[in-house]
Amino acid sequence: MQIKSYTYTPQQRPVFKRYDLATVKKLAQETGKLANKAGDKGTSGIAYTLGALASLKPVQNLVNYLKNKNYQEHLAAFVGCTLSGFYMLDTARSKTIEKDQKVPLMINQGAVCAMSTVGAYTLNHYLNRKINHVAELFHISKIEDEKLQTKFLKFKQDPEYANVIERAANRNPKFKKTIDAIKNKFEFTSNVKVYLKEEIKKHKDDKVAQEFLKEIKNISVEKGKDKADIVKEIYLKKMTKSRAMQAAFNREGMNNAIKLVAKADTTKKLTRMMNGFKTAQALMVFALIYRFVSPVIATPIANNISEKLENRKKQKVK
Amino acid sequence: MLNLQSNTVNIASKQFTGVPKGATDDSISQFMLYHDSLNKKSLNQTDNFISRKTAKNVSFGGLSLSEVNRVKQTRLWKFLNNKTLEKFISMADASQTIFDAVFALGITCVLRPAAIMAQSNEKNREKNKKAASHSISSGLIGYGFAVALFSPIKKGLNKLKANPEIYAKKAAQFMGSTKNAQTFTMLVNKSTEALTASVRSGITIALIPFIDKYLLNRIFGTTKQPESQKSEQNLLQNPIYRYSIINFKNNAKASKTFQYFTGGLE
Repeated sequence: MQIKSYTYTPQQRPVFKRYDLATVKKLAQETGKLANKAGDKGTSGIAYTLGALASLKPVQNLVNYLKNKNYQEHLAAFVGCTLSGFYMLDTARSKTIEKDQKVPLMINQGAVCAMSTVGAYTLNHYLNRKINHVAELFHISKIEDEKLQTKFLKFKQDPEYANVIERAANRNPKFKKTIDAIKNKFEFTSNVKVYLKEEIKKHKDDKVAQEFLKEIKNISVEKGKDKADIVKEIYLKKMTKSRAMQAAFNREGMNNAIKLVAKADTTKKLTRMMNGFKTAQALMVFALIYRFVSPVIATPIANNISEKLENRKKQKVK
Repeated sequence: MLNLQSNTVNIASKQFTGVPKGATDDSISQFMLYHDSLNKKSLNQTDNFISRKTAKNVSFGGLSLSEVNRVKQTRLWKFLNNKTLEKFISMADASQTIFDAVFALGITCVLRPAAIMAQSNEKNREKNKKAASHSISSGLIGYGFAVALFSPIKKGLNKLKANPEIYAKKAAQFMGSTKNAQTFTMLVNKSTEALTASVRSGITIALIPFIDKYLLNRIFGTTKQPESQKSEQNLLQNPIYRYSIINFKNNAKASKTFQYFTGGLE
């Protein structure tokens, strides 16, 4: 008699899962794609409507009018003040906020608005000046080619280094082409104005630059011409006599050269870093000051004022 | 003596270059022969090489290379070359609007209320609570509007700027100039902000009592009004009569002098 050998083979139990990770991932990807598509369509729709808006005559006239004016600060201040004004109005009208809390809150909102607008007009210039230097150093520090980096650093330390570069460029025709391209790119932007003011502080006896700054304030612009072009012409004419203007010109040239280096970089790391620094700088400095520091300082001031007002009211009632 | 010598060698090795006339620092390695690199140390020990000025030490722009090195040793330069800073900034670049919104949320919903409430004492707690809840609600509304309205408009503007000939056929030339495009974007951004200001403020102010009630009161508690005021008001509105005086019922408890008095024993 043979004994049937029996080997135990455990049956593979079917595993029941509520969900499969792969399918969930697929679903998420597909929904993401759909959302992206919808978003893409939406944004291009917005682009079309904005394009239609831009082709309207009155809008173009408005842009042409504002283009030559230093309007950005005023516009930002105006928007901030309207928002704060609406805040105060809505608090006054509100039915749910307790009556004795309305006045201090309104004073608080007003104080924050006032501090922010004053800060925007005074502090921004100072901070921009400081941050420009840090930003330039940061851009230079992210240039991977060490020889180029040291050359830019030398330039940053001493703008007179431009003369050395120019002499070198005269010897080398290839090099000269790029230098000329950078020179032609020059425009008298708000940044250059900041540089120029800084340089004037260094060269205090430079009267040509000071006259230039006064002159551009009251320039009559003919129709069909940009103010920027006229200012540029005057700048290039006067630059030969003024050291401060030359230094500002060279500094702008350096920044344009860094942008060129960033463009030539195939990995695009430098451009990414430059863009990232821009957003981070706006956040870290301006958001921190106007969203955090000024409201925190404003609250005790507003509390004090409202307390005094309450005391006065009480005395009058008595 | 031997130790001293080795020290001098170390200093000198930095200044070494066996470079012919007219060579820039870019082309040093070309002129260096193999046996030069082998005999580097032995060459350096001779005095001639130490006293000689090398190409690296000669300044071209009135600035020596050591000045550049000095910049590289500053704290700022080290901070800028920090790896974590690089990560932070690449994050800021990768998702600008979201990064912006999250940062703003962090400030308005956590940092600012915390700082405001930290200043409060019993007198001004209610006022500070209102300021804090205003900050939270404005942050939330700002985030909502940034995600739902401002960032799509920004993207649309970027598309329009990138290829104006597709999106604005009539105004392609107008949008082609960078100055015009810049002014237009600024105008659109600020006007949308100004136009939505009333709606934003309306929702923000309406949210304040809710945030007060459901969030801040639970964390910091409600400060009661001073009792003296409350009792005066209450007494005027619904006066309490002490019936016990009329009733005699509770008199025994009230007067301590007759506590143990149970009547005379005669």
